[in-house]
Amino acid sequence: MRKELYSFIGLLTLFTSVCAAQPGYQGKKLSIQGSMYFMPALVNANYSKKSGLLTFNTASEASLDYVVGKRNSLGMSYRHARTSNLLGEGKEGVSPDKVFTNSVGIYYRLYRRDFGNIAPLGRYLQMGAGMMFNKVIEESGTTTSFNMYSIRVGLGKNRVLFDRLLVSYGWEFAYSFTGFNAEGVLGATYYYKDEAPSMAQYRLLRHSMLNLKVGIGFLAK
Amino acid sequence: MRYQYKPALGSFILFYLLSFSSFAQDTFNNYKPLQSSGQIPVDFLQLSSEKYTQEKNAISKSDKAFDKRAKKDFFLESSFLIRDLLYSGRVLFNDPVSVYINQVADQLLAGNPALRGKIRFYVVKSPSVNAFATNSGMIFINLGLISQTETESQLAFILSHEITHYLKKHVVSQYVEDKKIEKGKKLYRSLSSEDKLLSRTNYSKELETEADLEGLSIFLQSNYSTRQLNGVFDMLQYAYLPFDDIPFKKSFFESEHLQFPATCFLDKVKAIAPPTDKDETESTHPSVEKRRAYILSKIGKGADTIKSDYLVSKAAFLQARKIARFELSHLYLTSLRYEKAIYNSYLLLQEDPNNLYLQKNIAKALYGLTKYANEEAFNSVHEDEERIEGHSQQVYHLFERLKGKELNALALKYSLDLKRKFPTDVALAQLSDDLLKALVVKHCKSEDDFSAKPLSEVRQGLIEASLVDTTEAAQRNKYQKIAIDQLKTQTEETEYFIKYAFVEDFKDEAFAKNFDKYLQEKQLSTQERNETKKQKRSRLRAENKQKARQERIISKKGAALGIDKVVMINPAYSKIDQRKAKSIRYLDSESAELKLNEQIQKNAQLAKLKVDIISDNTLQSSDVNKFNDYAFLRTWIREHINHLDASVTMGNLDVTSVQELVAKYGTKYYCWTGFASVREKKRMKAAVFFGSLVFAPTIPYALYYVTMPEYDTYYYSIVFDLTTGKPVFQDIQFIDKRNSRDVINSTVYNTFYQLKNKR
Repeated sequence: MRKELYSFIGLLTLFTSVCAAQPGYQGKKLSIQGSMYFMPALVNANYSKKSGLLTFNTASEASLDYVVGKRNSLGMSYRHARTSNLLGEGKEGVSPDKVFTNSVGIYYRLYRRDFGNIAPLGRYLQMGAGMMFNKVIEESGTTTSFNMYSIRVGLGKNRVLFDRLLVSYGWEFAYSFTGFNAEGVLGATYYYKDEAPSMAQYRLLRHSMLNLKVGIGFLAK
Repeated sequence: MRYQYKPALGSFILFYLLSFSSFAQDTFNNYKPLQSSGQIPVDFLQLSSEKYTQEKNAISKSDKAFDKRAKKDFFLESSFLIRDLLYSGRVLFNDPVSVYINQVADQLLAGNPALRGKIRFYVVKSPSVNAFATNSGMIFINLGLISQTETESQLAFILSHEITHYLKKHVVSQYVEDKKIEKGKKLYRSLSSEDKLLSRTNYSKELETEADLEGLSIFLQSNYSTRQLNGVFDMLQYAYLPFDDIPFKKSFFESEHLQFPATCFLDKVKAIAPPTDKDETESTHPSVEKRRAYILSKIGKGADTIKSDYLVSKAAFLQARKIARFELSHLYLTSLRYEKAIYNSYLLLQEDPNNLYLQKNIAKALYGLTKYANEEAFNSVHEDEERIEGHSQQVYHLFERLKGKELNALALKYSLDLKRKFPTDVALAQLSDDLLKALVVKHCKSEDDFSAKPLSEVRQGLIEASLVDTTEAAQRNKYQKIAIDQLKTQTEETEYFIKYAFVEDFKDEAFAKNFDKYLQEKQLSTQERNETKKQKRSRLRAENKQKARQERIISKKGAALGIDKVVMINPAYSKIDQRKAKSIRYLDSESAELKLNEQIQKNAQLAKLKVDIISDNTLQSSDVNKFNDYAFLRTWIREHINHLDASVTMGNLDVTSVQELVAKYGTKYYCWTGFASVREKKRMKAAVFFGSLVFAPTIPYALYYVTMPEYDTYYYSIVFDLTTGKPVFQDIQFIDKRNSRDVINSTVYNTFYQLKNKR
């Protein structure tokens, strides 16, 4: 993890020194943003409720974005989510496992070449990667921690209100896996021998697979 | 006693006239285009929305609903269009010609001060022979019209015609009637499109006839004589001709060493068409002959022998008309009608043969024609000679006949001769240098293209060289004589007529040096074309590398011009809604324009770029100098945008004015910018929606398409270097977004950032 963080800081420093001459939004290139990722929990329960159209699985994210080009920005994010994994669904007295994830990631945004898109304003394609630190607490109280990786691709749009407030919306597709070993992800052979962590891992994969996003932030500098 | 005063009075008048004329002569020699002066009139300062509200509130409550609506539309459109005209850079106030026109109006309406108080006269810098009135009492008189009038009384008659249009509210009546015809109301129900057009023009002709007749009543109440009114109709009949028609002499552009071939000049020019009383169906006015007939029948004969053709003064009229004619030369230049500019200046030179202003205008016109010819765009500034009547056709024929090289040589020769007469003139020096460079680089193949020796000397040399023995002329035999004659004819036939054009100029060391310098540059680039394949490949590789490097820098840093200050000329904002029949949203556009000025200032501050905005809505009544700067810049930019459209790079022709502006505003960079926001009309909404029902997954898309508005925004920003006349920055964008505040700010800041940032 430390290695990734150092790489990100290194890259950011390089871009900000070499490509410092970018317009940004009225000269403001750094933005801090809070976002919510969500998707109706149609087939799975969320952390506290059973599945349903008005039940949502959510993830909250804080991110730091820096414009490095007229159509490019780099960012880092911290994301937190919690959900549940109802292993014994339908059985009476069975309560779901609680699944928690914290992830840190980096991303690169490429703003569309359409005229009018000048970072951080306009439509963008976002590509990123993250490290997920997960924890599952079974009904019995047994806690298991495990890590995963994720790669994320998303489309979004930023708008600026009152020259300071950044409003963002879009969607994201993410693929999370336990290691650079495909069979560990697909469920054919679970990485963990125990059922609960391996199901939690599968749950997280689906939880982050497709999400809508809304965010609000401010242009710092 | 009375007689004793006569000589003294006569001497005084003579002295006054002499001093006036010598002052005028000097003024015209160093003539400067007209500028406004004094306080800016209220008409210019009132916002269009304010004017619209005023006029809308004045609509009579007794009007029918349709008329009320039509009038509202009219007042909205006209208040904005008139403001556009007022700030087009063409309208003048308190200048010598406007002052004179107002004096004529004072005389005309001396018996009706209340009416006089309501009417404001403005002069328009336009060569077309026209005048027009507005509903609010502004009357505009074109300089083209003033230049063609023969007496003050003719001018007064035209003013009285326009006053009637105002008094009878003809403009709004015509608009309402047009709307009725368009919508097929009452009498116009179920008319064909041809009949509708006919009804429209017939109504317009009725109004024009009324303006003529009622105008005549106003005129007859004044002390102006009707003697010259017949001439008004001659003027209207031949308004398409220059203000005079005299032969254009072949010798005008010729010199000892530059003689045009006979084919460059017509033996006979196209005759001027005789007057016709044909009343054209599509014309908005009755035929000139019809108008002449009913006006003359009303006047009768010899009714006003005690009245005068001049109430202000003949001298003042002649002065105003002369100014108007001088203005035309410049107006034709700025509107790229170079041949008209040449003939107009030629006419004026008959009276002032050494006038610097007129000669410079001809040099500039020749320069313009040359530049367009060199860029293969000659036809965009040249008018077909077949359409020209009268002696001016000779000018059009000459330029149609001259090839690019010949035209370039002629332009250079003319400006060199002029430069020799006025050696301190900076503009002429620049013009000559640019033309010399163009001639050599574009047209010269070798140094032999132009000769430093006169034709006679060259011919003699050839003869001497061809004779084996130097036999005395008297002792030559028959065969030697034949050989010499043949040689003479041969040189005459084969030598290019412009070859000897610069014989005198080659004696000037600076000219010869520059000629060689440009030729060497040309030969260097020609050598490049003769290089081996390997050399070419390596040169192209180096060039591409350099180009790629430049592109990389631009993509990273933008244009990065390192400019400290820019003057923005009238930043514009248009809002258009294509869903509506009246697509221009005037009121919204005005408020958006006011906000845009604020946004420009704010973004300039953030980008640390100094910005001055010269705009119609930033002017105060005392800002007449700024108004004049604005008018000059609008015209300058309009002219240079036309050059850009034709992909022609023109040098700056207004050196003095430009230098003054650069010194005044502390920058040579001037920006023409604006936004247009368009709300698109979505087509086939019902088809998309019902089509989606066939394939359910497309329903969300169809709903989105049907319900969400679609906006496009257009942005343009062109920064000119005023001193060179060239654009240094161009940003023309189609923005696939709504014109929200953040989009505008981001776009404007990005432009400023690129201007300010250094490499």
